[in-house]
Amino acid sequence: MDGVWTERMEMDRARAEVYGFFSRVFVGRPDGAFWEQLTAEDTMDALGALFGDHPALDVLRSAAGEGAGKSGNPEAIQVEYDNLFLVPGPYHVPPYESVLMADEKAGGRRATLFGKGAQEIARIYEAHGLEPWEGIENFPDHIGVELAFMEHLCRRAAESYASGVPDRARDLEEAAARFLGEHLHAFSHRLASAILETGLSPTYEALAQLLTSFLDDDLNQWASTAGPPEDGARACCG
Amino acid sequence: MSTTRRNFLKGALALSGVLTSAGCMKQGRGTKPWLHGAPDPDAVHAEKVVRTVCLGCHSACGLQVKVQDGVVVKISGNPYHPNVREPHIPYDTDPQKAALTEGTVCAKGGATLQTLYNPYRLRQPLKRVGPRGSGKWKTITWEQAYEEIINGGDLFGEGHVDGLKAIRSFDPIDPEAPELGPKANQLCFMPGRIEHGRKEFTDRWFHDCFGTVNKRLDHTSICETSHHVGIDLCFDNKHHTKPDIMNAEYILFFGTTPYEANFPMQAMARKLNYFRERGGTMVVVDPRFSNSAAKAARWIPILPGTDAAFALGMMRWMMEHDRVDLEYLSFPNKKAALEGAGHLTWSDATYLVRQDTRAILRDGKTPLVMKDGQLVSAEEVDRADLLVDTTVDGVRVVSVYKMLTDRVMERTVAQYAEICGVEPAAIEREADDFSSHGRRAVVDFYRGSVQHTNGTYTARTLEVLNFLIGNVSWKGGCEAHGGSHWHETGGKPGNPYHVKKPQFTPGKVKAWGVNIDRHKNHYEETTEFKKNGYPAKRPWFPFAYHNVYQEVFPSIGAQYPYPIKCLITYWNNVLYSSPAGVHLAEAVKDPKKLPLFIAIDIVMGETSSLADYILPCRHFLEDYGTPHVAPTILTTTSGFRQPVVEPVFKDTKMLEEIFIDLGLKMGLPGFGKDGLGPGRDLYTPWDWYKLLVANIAYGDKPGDSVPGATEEEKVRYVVERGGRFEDYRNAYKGPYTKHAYKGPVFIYNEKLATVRDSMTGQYYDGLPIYEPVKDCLGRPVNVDPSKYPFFILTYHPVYHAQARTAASPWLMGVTPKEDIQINAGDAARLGIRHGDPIRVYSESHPEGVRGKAWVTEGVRPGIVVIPHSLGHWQYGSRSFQVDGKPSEAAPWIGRGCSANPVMLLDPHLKDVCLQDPIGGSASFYDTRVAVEKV
Repeated sequence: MDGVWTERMEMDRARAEVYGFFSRVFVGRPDGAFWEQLTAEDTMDALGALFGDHPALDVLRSAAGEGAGKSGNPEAIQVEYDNLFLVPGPYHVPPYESVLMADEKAGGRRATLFGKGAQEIARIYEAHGLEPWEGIENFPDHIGVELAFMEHLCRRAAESYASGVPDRARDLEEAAARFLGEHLHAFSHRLASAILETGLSPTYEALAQLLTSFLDDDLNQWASTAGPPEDGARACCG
Repeated sequence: MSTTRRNFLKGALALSGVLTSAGCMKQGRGTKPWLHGAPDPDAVHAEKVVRTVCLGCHSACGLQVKVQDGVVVKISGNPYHPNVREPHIPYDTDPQKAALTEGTVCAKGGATLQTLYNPYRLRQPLKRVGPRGSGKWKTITWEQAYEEIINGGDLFGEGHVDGLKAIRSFDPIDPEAPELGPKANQLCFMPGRIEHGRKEFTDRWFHDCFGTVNKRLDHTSICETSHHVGIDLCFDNKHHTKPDIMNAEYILFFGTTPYEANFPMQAMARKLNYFRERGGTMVVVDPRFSNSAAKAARWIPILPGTDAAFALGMMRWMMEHDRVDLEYLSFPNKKAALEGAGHLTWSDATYLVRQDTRAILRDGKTPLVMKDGQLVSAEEVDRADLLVDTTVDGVRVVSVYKMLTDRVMERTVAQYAEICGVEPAAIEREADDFSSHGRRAVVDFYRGSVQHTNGTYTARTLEVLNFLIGNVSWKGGCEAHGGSHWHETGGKPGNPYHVKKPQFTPGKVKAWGVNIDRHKNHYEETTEFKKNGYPAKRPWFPFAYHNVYQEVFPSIGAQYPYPIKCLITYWNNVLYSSPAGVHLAEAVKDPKKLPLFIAIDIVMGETSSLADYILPCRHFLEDYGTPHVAPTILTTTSGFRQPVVEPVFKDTKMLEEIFIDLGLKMGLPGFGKDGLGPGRDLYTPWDWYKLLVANIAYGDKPGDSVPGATEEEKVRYVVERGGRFEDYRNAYKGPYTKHAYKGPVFIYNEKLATVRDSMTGQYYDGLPIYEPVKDCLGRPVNVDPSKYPFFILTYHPVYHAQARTAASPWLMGVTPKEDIQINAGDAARLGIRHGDPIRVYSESHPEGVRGKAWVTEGVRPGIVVIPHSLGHWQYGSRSFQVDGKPSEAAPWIGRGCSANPVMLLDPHLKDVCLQDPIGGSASFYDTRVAVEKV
């Protein structure tokens, strides 16, 4: 395989892992092992390798430390997830793009679950032969589902490079870049701001900041690598 | 984000195993945990297990009740019963061994333990000592109550009141209007919920023994009667359809949430889990994001009352894309359909409709059709022409299918979509999907679609979608019969006791005349019509074959078409449960308009609180009954309800006991010695029910009996198992359901099309049709949307049913305090935050109701939703006076608010809610309201 394709394959595979990680962070109510895995030394090292000295990492490390912060135990993180993403109330942040990005100036006409925006996104998934699992947490425009879709595209792109079908890989990359630019990027920033406004969960604030940071960078990367790859193109951040 | 490529790759790959999960995209199918719904082995041991049938809602699930020291300690599902287990256990399983197996029970069923032991139950007969509704009572004996109710007198110091004896006269109410019938009709019985076994008993008492036509004006029209009526107008004597969930591939639900309500909720939810596991596509059309929508492939938040427009849009797309099963529709008779393509049903699509009389063109009784342009009998050809518009003997005749296509083409899909407030693509997609699964796709609907002024039309329109793909009676299609039941009242060759025959009611009288709510009565046959023509004073409902519950009280108040002298209610809460019900109190408060009002009730209900006498009755766990199940269940099912413990309050009585006592004391025919015919006394409820159980035990066909050498042994066999249940393996026969409907299906209903509305004088429409909301004079209901920008809806949460579940601390404990659901965008615009106190009011009820906001994206903008079962102002939530002392009360029972008080009154009648003039359904979903923060 061409060295350039190899690099792009490695990068897409890596991207898929990061998208998959964040998808799993947001897609559902955290189980008992979530906190343990998230705060494990290996995870922190991995995040450190990815995000360098990002201040959100300190928040996570601090929350993981003994007695530090209100997020600092498995039960608390479940309650925080419930209050943020599941239960109506003062801390509720709808994790759905079509709801959170609704234009309130239009009288909230789009602020409905599974509205037009969600159906448009579902059609994008279907065009790639996918559909989300049924259920309230897995509507097509749920942040976790959109991230999973990105994971899928990146993984398929990597596989296409590995299979010697670079044109197909490029198509998938372009689809990923388009989806990121048109949907996920702005949505994730609005979500992060909304989580921050609640002041409820240092952990989810930090995770959302890491997510937006990654997406900012990835958006730039897609832009910088648009078109046929050049020899030695840097396909990552830093 | 600051890192190097090398670090990025390293970090990313290190994350690959972190936070493992199943993912959220369909790439593989593992068995899902929600399929394994059978409960863990029950740790609760008891000395006795009794199998009975639930009445937490009307699903009639079998219960297995554990009793220790005479006290109910645990309720679970009866594993013999198909509602509660998939599959249910074989019927020949030893009852002792069966006790080791658990069926499921829902939250409502489990909590009936608390309503049994509810400390706010009524315990003794009460007689009012102040004006009606004053809340002042004294305890009396049963003997005094019976004596006064039967013989009347100056019972309240307000003048003479006729008792039941005086009312039972067979002289005409009005000699000038003899069609109204005898004075005995001035006794009216209004049960709220009454089920099989019991309803036949009270029918016998009121209709056959007392002689009133007003025998059973139950609640069905505030439930979903237009669903039944609409379906009845599509089939030959069938009034309930359900999807064959276990074999369907696609189900489109309108106006129902089978994971929360519908019949039976447990079985539907369980079967839908299997359906989804198989990859079935469930789509929910509902303005509210229900539990079912949460499990659906797609949720379509449609505008209320526009389901028929959605269906017509689907029909248009199907017609334009060659997705209608034209072969099925072209079969003009039973033989042709069976031999042509194996169908058990056939349609009227090829029948010809005379455009002058609106009747089907016939030769004698046989419909005529066109075959290759020649007029022939529908019975004589194997196919007939579908698109006919011609002249026969100078009369224009048009085939039913041609009329349907003309109707459907009146609007484009985009225009239908605009009516529904959805994207045209949503209609097109469902039309495409619905017509892409052969006969394994089905449309189903329930209350939300039909409790509108256009309810019957909507029901017919939705049902016709099924006919267009020819799915009726096929595996995976539309089931119009279900397993049904063994005939407990007899009449089948195997049954020993045909209790409806005259010999089982010696001295039986014939009740006749007009019902107080005019259901099944034609206005044009009355003296009033001959004098006044259209409109009638109040509407008549010739097609509302159940009855028109919400119309009874205002008719009593208006003394139309005649005065009622005595109203007996049973477990009935008209004021609480009817739309705009609070306005109905005035109709029954005045003793001059209603001289005698007797309530038979378990608690001090809102309606019972207005009665003259309250007779305390039993809880269903202390009662008998033989309830049926919905056609969701494909195997024959006869549940048996029986007392599981001694009466908790000794001075209460079963309903049957009360009427046996009254019958004996009045000397009515059919009670006491040989009351059920020679050698069959009727002194106790069991005297009646043992005949019913014997009929079930012997079965409908000779040789179909359960094991047992004697009748007593056979009866015991059924009683021990809580009923009789056909084996699960018998659900299907080849490509059909086993007990399939085998008859015609009607796209056009001639009877409907040739009858005129009593108020407008206009013919009803015989075809599928979308009709906007209208009042009883046929005028559009135009409430100013700038003043009242929201529609209000109700629904049953999965942990509540009707009025009665509010008495359970468990169920109220899981009920959110926020009770008025409003869209997040709407809430933001009104400055309403989650939990804020808000007021919802309407043109008919400016004061409105108050509750707490539940801000959610799960409601279509422009809609507010208040769940049913909350907001009691009696029912034990408020103290009343008994023998000069205040009763105990529990304010938590009255928590929250109800939507019913703000529902719109009919602008012409002004004393009753909007109504469906055909099916008689009360409108629950056509009211515009305003919302404000308080």
